[in-house]
Amino acid sequence: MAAVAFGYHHAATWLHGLDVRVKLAAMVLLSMASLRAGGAAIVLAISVALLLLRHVRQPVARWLVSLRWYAVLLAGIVLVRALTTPGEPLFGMSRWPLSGPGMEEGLLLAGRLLFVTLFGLLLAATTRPSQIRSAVEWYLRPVPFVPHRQAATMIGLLVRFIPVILTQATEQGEALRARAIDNRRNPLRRTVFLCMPLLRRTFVTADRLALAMEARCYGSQRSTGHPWRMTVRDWSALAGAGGLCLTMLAIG
Amino acid sequence: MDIVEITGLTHRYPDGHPSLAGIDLTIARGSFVILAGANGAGKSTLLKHLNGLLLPDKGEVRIGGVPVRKDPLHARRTVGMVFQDADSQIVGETVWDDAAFGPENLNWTAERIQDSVEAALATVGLGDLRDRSPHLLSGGEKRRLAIAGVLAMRPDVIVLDEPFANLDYEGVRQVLTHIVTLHADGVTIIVCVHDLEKVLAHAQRLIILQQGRIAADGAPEEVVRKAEAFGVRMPAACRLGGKVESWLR
Amino acid sequence: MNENSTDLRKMVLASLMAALIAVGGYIAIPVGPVPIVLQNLFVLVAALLLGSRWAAASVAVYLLAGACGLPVFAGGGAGLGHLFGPRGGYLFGFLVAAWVVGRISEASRQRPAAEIAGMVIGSLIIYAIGVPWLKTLLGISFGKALTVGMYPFVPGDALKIAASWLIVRSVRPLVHAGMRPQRALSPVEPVE
Repeated sequence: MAAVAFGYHHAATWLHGLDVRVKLAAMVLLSMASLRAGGAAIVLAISVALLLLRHVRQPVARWLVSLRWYAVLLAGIVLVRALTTPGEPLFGMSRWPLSGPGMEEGLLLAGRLLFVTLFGLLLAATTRPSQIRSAVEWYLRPVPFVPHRQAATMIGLLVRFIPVILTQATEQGEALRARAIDNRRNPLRRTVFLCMPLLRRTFVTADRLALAMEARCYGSQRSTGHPWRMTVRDWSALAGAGGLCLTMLAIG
Repeated sequence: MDIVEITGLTHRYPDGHPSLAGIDLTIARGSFVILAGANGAGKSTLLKHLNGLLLPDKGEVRIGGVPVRKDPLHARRTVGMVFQDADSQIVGETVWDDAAFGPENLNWTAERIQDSVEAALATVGLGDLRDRSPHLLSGGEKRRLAIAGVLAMRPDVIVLDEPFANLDYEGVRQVLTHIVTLHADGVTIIVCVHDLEKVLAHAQRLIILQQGRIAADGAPEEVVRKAEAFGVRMPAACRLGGKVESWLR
Repeated sequence: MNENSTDLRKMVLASLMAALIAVGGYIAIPVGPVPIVLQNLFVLVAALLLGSRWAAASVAVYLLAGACGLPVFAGGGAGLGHLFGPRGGYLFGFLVAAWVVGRISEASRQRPAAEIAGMVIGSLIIYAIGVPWLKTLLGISFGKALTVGMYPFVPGDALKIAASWLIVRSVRPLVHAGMRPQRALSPVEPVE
């Protein structure tokens, strides 16, 4: 399960070496741009994403598997749009009046989401969680009223404990099934039986964790840890992403 | 010189029940001490006083001559604590991140953190797994990472609470090897166990706690003969009149 | 214990609740035609146990981590694609609901009736943001959006509110136990 939850896949590629802040900024900029982009721009953007995908040498099969439900969702969007938007039917059949404009709209929407998702995956696959955390901390620093250090620590703990809790939940489910939980019809009981121990364990873990962090001198004064340095490559990547955004907006 | 000095330490649970009743104890720098006792004897409570996670209701705890109450941070830097449940004391998303957590808290410079973490991971033999997610480590490796996380802060004393719980034979041997090596390097070791078997052969001193008091204290081979009277199982070899063999053999 | 360690404890707890919310997206209890996904149950529980401020922080950290491409969203996909996607409205709804439910619980001093009413309001808030979002995204009528995005889940929600209340009632004492050696917890517990 832990492997499913974690997208990072190490390889020595250009995208892996890029400054995380640039990657994050590019992802946000391109996602914003894609929201206003038209068909041609989306085709361009998706081709760029696919080219990058080829470049970073990822296990594509694993990606497809992890994307399958998302693909169903996207197909659903296209279908619903096509069925509900009024307009000239695409095919002559009357039982399934897929309208042309609706199909177009649906495809555009799905294309935008697919692009945004592909970029998210690119980022996740080429960046260590801890790097993302440092970059978030860097971006939050100038934001008023947000304790950026604390936010970064919380994101770190979140990432660290997802697989732990997922494993605990699986164990908990198995233990319940071993004692014939499946014979219970009452869904309320089943929910409570699964969640209660999980929460109790989470609380005990939180207690111990807080104690251990205190023992290791956790406090507000921490080293920043991450030395940031923008290279020519990083600046040009940022410029490239900006250029792509402008192109997408220009060709509509 | 004694690195740990405890005088008249008394502590009560929130419900008023005493957990430690007048503990007097000194531990010499560089020694290897076992703290044993049945469940609920007050071992963990005593340990938490060593680095200011708990403060005494009565009495005083001094670490390296400095009262813990006055400077808990000093105590925490001097006494590194490895808790029993490794999983809930590992904070970082990767092995390296976790070992760096303590040094980062101490606000060290990047180079110093780098050096210290490298050294700590090398000491416990996790240097090659630096980018691994802690979740994917084995039980023994997790325990070693917990030790490295403390080691990276360069403490003078390392306290281990039940370091062998839930480990297989190989895991026990790995952890024990590192404890013994650290001791040889001059670190003061305090190991807290309820089962003496695995570690007795390496200790220089055995302290048995019972109901919040020190029931016995002295050389391991002598104290172990009285162990059963205080709720600690005597290793079979001692019962037969022999000595406990090292698990590292 | 002092101010610092209570705060640290709250922060750790909020982070772990965020992890639990993330895990809640992956685990479902198979009951009837629509399986019960535990995610919003954990949001409600977090709100009641942590209070408005830390519960909102917990959900915010979850969303922030997801937005930055960390793999916390169930069902594949990553990053902003998920937040902008059909389920995005519900995810933002979690944030508002966590704060509101926490606030109601605090203001009512944890009276059971108020807390249950609060959870009902919280669940409605999630739909109030999620359903229009779905409607706009899919370009369907409001009635259809309700049929797809709300009605099938209402029985499950009622059940989740009941379950949350039962769970919170039993777990709450653990939150306020403080940093304690407890007699009930023996110093040497079996390690999970």
